[in-house]
This record gives sequence, C-alpha cells and structure tokens, in this order.
Amino acid sequence: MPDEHEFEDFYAAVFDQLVGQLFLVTGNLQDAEDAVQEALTRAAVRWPRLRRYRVPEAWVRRVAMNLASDGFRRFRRRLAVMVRLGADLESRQAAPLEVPGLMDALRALPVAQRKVVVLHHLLDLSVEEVAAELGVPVGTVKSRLARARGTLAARLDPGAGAEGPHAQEGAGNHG
Amino acid sequence: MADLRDRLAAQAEQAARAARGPGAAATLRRARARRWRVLGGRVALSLLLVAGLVSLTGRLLDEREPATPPQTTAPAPRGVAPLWTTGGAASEPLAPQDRTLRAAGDLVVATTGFGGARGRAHAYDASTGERRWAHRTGPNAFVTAVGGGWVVVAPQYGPLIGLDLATGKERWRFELAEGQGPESGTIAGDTLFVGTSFPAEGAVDPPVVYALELATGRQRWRAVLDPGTDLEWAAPVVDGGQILVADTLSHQGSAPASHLHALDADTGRRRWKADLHAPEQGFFAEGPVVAGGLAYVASASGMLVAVDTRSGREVWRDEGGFPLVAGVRAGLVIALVGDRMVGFDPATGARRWQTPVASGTGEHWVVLDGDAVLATAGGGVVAVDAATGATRWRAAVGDAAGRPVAAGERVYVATRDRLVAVDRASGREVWASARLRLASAPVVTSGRVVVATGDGTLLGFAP
Repeated sequence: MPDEHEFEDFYAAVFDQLVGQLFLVTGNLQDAEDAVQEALTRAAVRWPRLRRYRVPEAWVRRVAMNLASDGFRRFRRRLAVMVRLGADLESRQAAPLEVPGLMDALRALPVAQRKVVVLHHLLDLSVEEVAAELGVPVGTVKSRLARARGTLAARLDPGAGAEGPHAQEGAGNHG
Repeated sequence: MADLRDRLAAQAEQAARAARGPGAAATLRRARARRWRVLGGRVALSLLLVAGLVSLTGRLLDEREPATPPQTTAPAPRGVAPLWTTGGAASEPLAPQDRTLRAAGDLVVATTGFGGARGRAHAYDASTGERRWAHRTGPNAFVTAVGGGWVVVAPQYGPLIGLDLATGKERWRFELAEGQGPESGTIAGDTLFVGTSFPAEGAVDPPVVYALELATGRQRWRAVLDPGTDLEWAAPVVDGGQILVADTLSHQGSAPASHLHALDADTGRRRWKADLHAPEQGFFAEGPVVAGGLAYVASASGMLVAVDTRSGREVWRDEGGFPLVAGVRAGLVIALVGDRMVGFDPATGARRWQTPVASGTGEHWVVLDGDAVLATAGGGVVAVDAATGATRWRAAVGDAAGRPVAAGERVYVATRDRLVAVDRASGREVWASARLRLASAPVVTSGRVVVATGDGTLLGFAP
C-alpha cells in the first residue's frame, strides 16, 4: 500500500509541528492535539486526493484551525462523552513549558486574532495568503493583525505599549 | 515586538516536543472505519427500504400479523426489520449524542440538523412512526428537557424554546447572551432548572444556572457560578429544596478545581459548594446521584466523592479509578470503576464487593435494573447481582454505542452497527436488527423500541 506508507511518512513529518502551531491558537496542548488528530483523520480519508496537493499540510492546518474555532471545546467534550473511557481521562500529560508571558498574552486575544498572528508572524504567510487560508477578506486580516499586535505589544512590552505611538506604528507597518 | 516571531517559534517548539498522538497506523484505521460507516450506512438503508417493501407487500397479500419475537430456544434472528421508519422525514444528520432522542408519553422527540443551519425538533408517534409535528429551532439543537406536557429544545447557543408537547406550538423563548450555550435541564413541577456555559475557546465567563417558569419561560432566578468553569451536560439534580450541579474546568488552569454546588431551589442562593479535588477538565454526561442524605459524584480526577447534601462536607472518597455511578441499590452505591463493578458501603466508602467485568473498547455505561446492575463493557453487556456482585450473565453483542435499556423481558443495546435485544433474565440474544449506523441509544415507549441512525432516520422495532 504505497499510499498508506506515504501517509505514515506525512503524519510523522507534520504531527508535532502542527500541534506546536495549533497550541499557540488553542492555548492548551490537549485541544491542539485533538484538533490536529481530527484534521489528520479527515486527511487520511481523503489521502488519495490530498497527496497530489502541492502542500497537503496546509489543508490539514486549515481544518485544524477551523476545529480550533469557537465551539471546539464543546466538540471535544462531545467526543469524550461518546468514548467514555476512563483511561483516556486518567492519562493526561504535562503541559509544555511556556515562554514567559507569551501564552498569557496570546490567551488575551480572541481566537481569530491568534490565528492571524500564527499564520503571519510564525509561518511568514503574506496578508493575502493568510486571507486565502482563513477564507476572510484581506482587510479583515489587516485589522485583526493590527488589533492583535496592539494587545501583544501592551502585554509583552508594557513600557513601549504605554507610549502609544510605538504600538500604533508597529500595528500599522504590516499588511 | 521585534522578537515576536522568535518567541512564537520557541513556544511552538516546546509544544511540539510535548505533543503526543495515536500515530499514523491508528489514524488510518479510524479513517477506514469512517469510510465503511458511511458506505455501510447507505447500503444498510437501501437494504432496509427493500426489506420494508417486501415485508409490507407480504402483509398486504396474506393479512398476516407482524412477526413476533422468536422463542429464546430458537437461534436468534439477525436482520430483523423495523415496523416503521421515518424515511426522509428527518433526513438531516442527528447530533451524535444520546440527548437527541427522548421518549415523551406516546411520542418520541428528536432533533435533526446537526452541523447545519436547518435545525428542527420533530415529534413522532412512537407506535406508528407518523410525524405529529416539526418545529424549526436553529442549528445544533438538542432536547433540553421533557415533562409536564412540555418539551424544551435549544440550539447550541440558545435560545431556550418552550414547545407544547402535544402540538409542537412554540409558547415562549428565553434568550441567552452571545456565546452562552445551554446544557441539559430538569423539569420539576412548574419550574425548569437549566445550566448554561460559555464554551468558546479562551472564554472564562462563569456558568449561569436559571430557574424558569415552565408555562411562560419567565426567569425566577439566576445563579452565577465560578469563572473559568463550565457546567457539564448533566441536568441539574433536584434534591428536596436545593439544586445540585457540578462544574468542570473550562480548560487547563482556568480555575483551581471543580466543585459541586448546592443552590436554593426557591431563590438560587448558594447553600454550599464542595471541592471535588479535580484540577483537570472532565466530561461527564451524568450528574450526582443522591440517596440517603449523600450525593455521590465522579470527579475529573477519577475519584468517587461522597458529599453530605446538608452541609457540603465530604464524607468519603474512593481514589481507585475513574467511576461511572449507577446508583444506590441493595444498600450499596454501585459504580463501574475501571474494569470492575464495585459495591460501596454508602456511609464509609468501603468496598463490599468488586467484580471484574472487563473494559476495552466501546462506550461504558452502567444502569440499575431491578436487583441487578447492567454495564456495557468488554464488547457486550454484563448483568451483576446488586447485593452480592455475582455475575448473572454476559452477552457478547459487540461494543455499545449508548446506554442499555431494560424494558419488559428484554434489555436493548445499540452497538456500533446493530440494535440487539437480549433476554433480561438470561442474557441470551433474542433478535438483532440489520446493520445500521446507529446514532442513539434506544428509547422504549408505547410498545416500540426506537433508535435513530446517523442520517436522522428513526426506526421503530417491535419489542
């Protein structure tokens, strides 16, 4: 089954990396793992087609990002209730080490803003690419980035944030 | 801000290092199972349609009575056809939860339209499958509560909608705030008690419990609980003059621990709250079980905690594994703990008996049935004597997909692909349906056993 071997390689290459990215969006590891795992399961169903994509990883990330949106907590809760296996609840792993201040600052942002921050600042996608990936207008991406950077500047670098113009300058430079 | 990218990359790397998944092989197995479920569901429904037509034609020709369940001495028939199906009347996906299908007198109420905008509540005559009414509800609706001639339904983010059970006419709506989702409710007398949570990612708004006048939907009181927690699906438990609800953490670190709350039923004022020693998130469909002045509740930490319902004082706790509490019978608290059924002394928590019932795959449910307790575990159903813990029978019917239901001389179980009826006294399989993609546990009413399939079709079987 060459398709399956190919999927196994793909899974091994992207799982950890995508969980890392999704963690910045969800703010907790369990949700990030669940979103990536569900997205990869959907990818496995469609693998004969997806494998021909130039970057199948982008498809998986988009699905995982969608799952990480509003309501995902409830979705995950439903899955857990359906499974009802005590073992799953008992085997919780430790949370990853957190970069000082960063996760608190990210958690202060709405999920939609966290997504644009990750796609633009971590993955270096252009504003147009972020808009295409999230399926929202370019202007929306710009305004989310501006608001997110304003909040992050104030929380990560309070001294600079208090001066206002510095934060505004940062917010206006991109997009 | 110059180092934002570096900080994000460092954090993503830390999380990636801690990441743990089931692996590619398990993912491929799940993907294959999904493909087969979809394909199998379509084939099964086509076969059912053909089987139904053949059966109907036969009956019209020779006026025979519908097939009666066979004697338990004969081999159990498989592929038993339903007496009715709702056909395309509810051909939208059902929410995959056991709270989408409820028995209400001679009716069965179901919600459809999960994942789409066209959510509806439907009521069917349980005896004939005839649709009595349908009401548009909004997306992802579920049945919040049924009782007193009322059915209360709600989309994922409200409002709560009060419907006349007999006609489906909408009598009131109770609007919720943006992002506020209702949980299951309890009808007691002329009051609906219902909890709500804010389940959006990152939201830490406190849950709110409401008491609404059932006839009008008017608010009698509201009680705001602790920030950083959610209520679970479990409906509030009415215990004399108070309401018991258990919360769980919204996400890791959002609150110090989860609690069991007691609210005054008349005013909503908090009487006490008991620490459940659970700094984790938990997901439980059942509320506390109350008996003899104690509330028994499973915590997300895998403890069974017994709390005095007058003071909120913890009386005992068992830390021997994750419990699913069946209830109190034969003077014992009975729970499925890990792979064992356990009878606890209600006053001290001492284990009076414990019986291995095997765990494994499938959903674990445990329900009381007379002087026995039934559990789905280990690829089937097991019946255990409540007083002694002796195993009465085991039925290897397959992994359960919902709670077993005992009615008349049968126990009905929805497995992953069949509805199975076993003899209540012996556990012998009596009949099983054709292969189906079941989405609900069975409900039994008006002489019918009703289940729902994943695409929203309801099937009514003879018992």
